[in-house]
Amino acid sequence: MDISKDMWMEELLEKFPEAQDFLSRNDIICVQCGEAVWGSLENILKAKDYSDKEIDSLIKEINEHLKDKKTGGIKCLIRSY
Amino acid sequence: MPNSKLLVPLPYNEPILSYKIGSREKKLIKEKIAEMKSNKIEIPLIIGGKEVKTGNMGKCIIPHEHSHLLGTYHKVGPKEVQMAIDAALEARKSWASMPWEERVAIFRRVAELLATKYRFILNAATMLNQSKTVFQAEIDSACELIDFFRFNTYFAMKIYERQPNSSPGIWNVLEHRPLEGFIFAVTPFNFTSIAGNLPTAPVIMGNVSLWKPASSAVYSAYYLMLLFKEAGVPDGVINFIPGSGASVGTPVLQSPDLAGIHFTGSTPTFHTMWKTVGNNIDKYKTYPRIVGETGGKDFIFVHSSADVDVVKVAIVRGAFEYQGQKCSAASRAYIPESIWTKLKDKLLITIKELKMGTVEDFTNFTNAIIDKNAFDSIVSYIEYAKKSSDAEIVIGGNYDDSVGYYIEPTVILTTDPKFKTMEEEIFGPVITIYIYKDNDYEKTLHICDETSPYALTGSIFANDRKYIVKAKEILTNAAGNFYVNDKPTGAVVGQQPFGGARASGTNDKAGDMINLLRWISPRTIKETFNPPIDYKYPFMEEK
Repeated sequence: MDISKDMWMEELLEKFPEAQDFLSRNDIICVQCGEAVWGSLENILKAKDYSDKEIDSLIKEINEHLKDKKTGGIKCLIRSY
Repeated sequence: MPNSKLLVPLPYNEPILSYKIGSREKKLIKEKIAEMKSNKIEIPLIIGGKEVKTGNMGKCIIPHEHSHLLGTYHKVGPKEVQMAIDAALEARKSWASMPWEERVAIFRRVAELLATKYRFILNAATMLNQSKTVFQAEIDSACELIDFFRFNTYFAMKIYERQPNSSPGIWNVLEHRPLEGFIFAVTPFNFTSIAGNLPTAPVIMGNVSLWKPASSAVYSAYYLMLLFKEAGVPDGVINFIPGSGASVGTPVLQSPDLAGIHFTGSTPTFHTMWKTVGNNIDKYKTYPRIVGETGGKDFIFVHSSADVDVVKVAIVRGAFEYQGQKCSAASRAYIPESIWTKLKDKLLITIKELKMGTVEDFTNFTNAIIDKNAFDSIVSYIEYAKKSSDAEIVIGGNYDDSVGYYIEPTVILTTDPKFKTMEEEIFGPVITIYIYKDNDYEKTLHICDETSPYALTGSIFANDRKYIVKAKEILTNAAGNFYVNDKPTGAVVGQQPFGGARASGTNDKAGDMINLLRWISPRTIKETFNPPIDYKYPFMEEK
């Protein structure tokens, strides 16, 4: 399963917790006040003025990044700082 | 009681138990923690007073020992949301017309049961499920929530007392009706008191509610539901529907019967809810009241005349108590150059003393972060600061989630007053300090005012009064709760009504009459005792 633009942030973080680091490095707030923000990824990105094309591009990039088994995923990047 | 004009007993703030060594309360809370920790419970939805199970399960964990399961809970789905709406609207028929003093009596009973039988249950649940020290739990799930019930019921009477003038021969009456529909209460993990207040404040005014607690704090919320039931809140008046934001929020916000939202949580989530209401505005039977308390980027601003020891304690308590997971937690500080070295030395000594660990060890000052997602979010800010050339970690900066979600109390020093961690809410034990030149006091106050979109809480520390006056003036709109020579946390119901404006919310002051006024829709009734029997007015006569 891949991340899709209609996926709500809560579901996204439940299924792909390592995506948070990627998104926060792109100034996308995933968690605030200790909880996943409401709304689909598409809505959240549109609130940040992302165009449809940019949304598709970002989602493609996240999915490719998550599939990169060699790095062990983004979770490991956090640990290796 | 039709032949009495009742007076609700004057409210008072619940005294805080000390839990000092050898005390009865310390013994009882330790016993309750051990008992609750050793039992796993299954938490159903509660709709129309009935337990409903969906089989779609979530977990209630202990954040400081995340492999330990306190229980599991059933998650709501769209079908159960509609059941909850139907149950609420059915219950509304009798609840809205119940004499107000009967509703008040139920919630005064809730307060007294919470002060006694349920005190240690709720405190232990909050300590375990939300990782709070006993003191933080006591001021939250016991005292603050008891205060909410005592003060809100009293304020309800004060609202009902308010009546218009009447000219001779007529009688004008304001009937303070509940809203037409149901209230959607969405509560945060960080305060059991807020979790208890948001669904009940509208209910005290005759409304009915659907309550979605934070997924990370369902455990303590469930015990609140048991308390409400025992105190006599009728079935269906409050409907308990834990679950994901998507599965709850989407159907609820589309209901034509949505009459109001009572929310505490993040600014982005509040924006999403508000936009959804806007998009659905043609569907509703009435304009939903939207009340929200959201984020903060709360500040401590220090003048050179301030007492350094006082500032030190305010930073330590204001930024690090409950791991900084308070909407009001201090997360940025402006310190004059002349006192920084002295303050830094004292801060380092004190912060090194702070113990972090489980809630069962009462010598700990801080415990764990609520969950993995929050932990990762806070860590990302710490790592950002570590890598930045504009910032350095003065103390702390370490973290470990192997057993519990632990993050050390962390102080970041920055040379950029607009640094990321000076602007954005982190919601963790992290404070960023900016050092300003003593002569730039006013200029830096303006920077403080303009740095963050939030305006929840803030403090000014000074002994020279004229600088306090200047700070109050420049920071007029920078905080809804403003403190002089005190930390920006710890608002007390009935004393410091809580809430902020700008991106921090609608500033409808929880635990105050201002909030309760949002949950009524007054009807004005004019009765004329001797109505006219001729349509003509005197001005129409010419002879």
